[in-house]
Amino acid sequence: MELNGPEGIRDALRLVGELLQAHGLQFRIVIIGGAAVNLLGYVTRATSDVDILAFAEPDRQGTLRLRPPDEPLPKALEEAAETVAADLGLDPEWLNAAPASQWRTGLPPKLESRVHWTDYGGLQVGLVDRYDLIFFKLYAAVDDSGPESVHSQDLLALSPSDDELEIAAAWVREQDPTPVIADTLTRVIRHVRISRA
Amino acid sequence: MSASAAPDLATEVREAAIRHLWRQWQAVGGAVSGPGQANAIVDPEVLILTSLWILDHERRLADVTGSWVRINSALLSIQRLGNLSRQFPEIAIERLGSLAAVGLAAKDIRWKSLRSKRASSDLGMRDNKVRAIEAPLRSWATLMLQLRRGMGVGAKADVLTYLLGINVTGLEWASVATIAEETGYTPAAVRRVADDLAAASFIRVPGTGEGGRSLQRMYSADPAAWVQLLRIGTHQPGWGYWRERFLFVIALLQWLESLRSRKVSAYARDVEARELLTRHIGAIRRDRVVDPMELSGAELNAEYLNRVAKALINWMGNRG
Repeated sequence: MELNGPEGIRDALRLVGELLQAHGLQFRIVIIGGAAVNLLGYVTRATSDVDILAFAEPDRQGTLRLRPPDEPLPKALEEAAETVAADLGLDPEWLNAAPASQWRTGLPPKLESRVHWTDYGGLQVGLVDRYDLIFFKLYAAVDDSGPESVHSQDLLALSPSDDELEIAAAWVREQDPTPVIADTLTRVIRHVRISRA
Repeated sequence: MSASAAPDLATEVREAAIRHLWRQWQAVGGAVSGPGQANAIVDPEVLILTSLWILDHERRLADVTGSWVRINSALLSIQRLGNLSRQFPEIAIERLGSLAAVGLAAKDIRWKSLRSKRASSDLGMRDNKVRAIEAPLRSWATLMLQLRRGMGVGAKADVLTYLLGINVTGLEWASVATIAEETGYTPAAVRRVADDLAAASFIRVPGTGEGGRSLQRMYSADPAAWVQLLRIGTHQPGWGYWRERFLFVIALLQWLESLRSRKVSAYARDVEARELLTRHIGAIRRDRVVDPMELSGAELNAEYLNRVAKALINWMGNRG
């Protein structure tokens, strides 16, 4: 079974938070992908997983600083997610750190300062901002099947301006400078502009 | 079960457990008045370890435990006490170290192996007044002690006790692994003594058509053949499975107590209750503490744990 829109995602995260809180534990995660687009209210669609981009920890001044997520996830977090998966009929790996590799090529500039936090008991969930999601969704659409992918649809739902698309495109070219990517990038951007019009 | 109901259930379970410990102590020679005697076979090592764990709620158990050990130490398996203690909470292990001093004072040097630096200074025994007599060996409840007295303390007597104890309603076979788990001896030791007992015709191994298809070696014993020899009556109340049952009671009480100091949502409470029930399922499945059909279809949650706890209290009071 998939996570059914924003409510389904919130329920699953809340249950994980409750299990962690019962053991006096707390984790702070930052998520991207379809789950984040859902939770920010730009789409209402089912998604199979919640992608963790980062863990966060407070520095000496109490400001939350992001770092790459642990892989595999910490045992307590993994067990809580597995329990919730079994109870809600979700994929056992619905909560995963698949986007961790993004840290190797870099994140959109100043992403950390734009994260929106929500408290789910033992789990604090940070959503990357719409601005940063445009970067990730453009990259995902280009990396996937181009204009036909679900990521292109999410990108359209985020209603990026021409300026935002241009900045995001420059970032995507830095992530992967190959000619194939450049060609798909052009097609996706054209698709977004046409669809938007 | 709501969070607010947890303290009441904890009190109910604890009082039932203490009541049953007193019944077991009375059965094995503790100077206890009133509560009636235990039915099922008393496991003396489990009785001692559980009594040591629950001392904070019933100080008088220290007096009876200490007094009984002074008089009946020779009937205890010190090795088994040590083995089983590892399954009990740390405080029981510490107190066992203190009890070792009592055993040593009674000139039983086997206790030396359990004397520990972690031992608390004393068990809180109030005096040296005699609160136990030599264990009376005349009932199913004291079968384990009776066979130890006759055959010597060790795996042989305990394996025979277990096999006699499981044959309540018909012929039951047990594997080496099961016997080892229930008695607390190693599989190698169990296999050795079970083969000896079978060779001497004290117990049975399957003949053709009796569990012969199993790859594991199985053993059984016939209580009817032993009751006359042992003079213990024909009504066979069973092994008791006290290790599982008291470990479940301990885990349940620890969990109920922990709900006071933790913020636990209804969902987390249900998940933890399910985990507790799953871990200790043997304690409630055996002897039909809860109807097996009901158990297989039940949603394992806090509400069901509450129901199971009450069923166990009832079982201990009536059949244990």
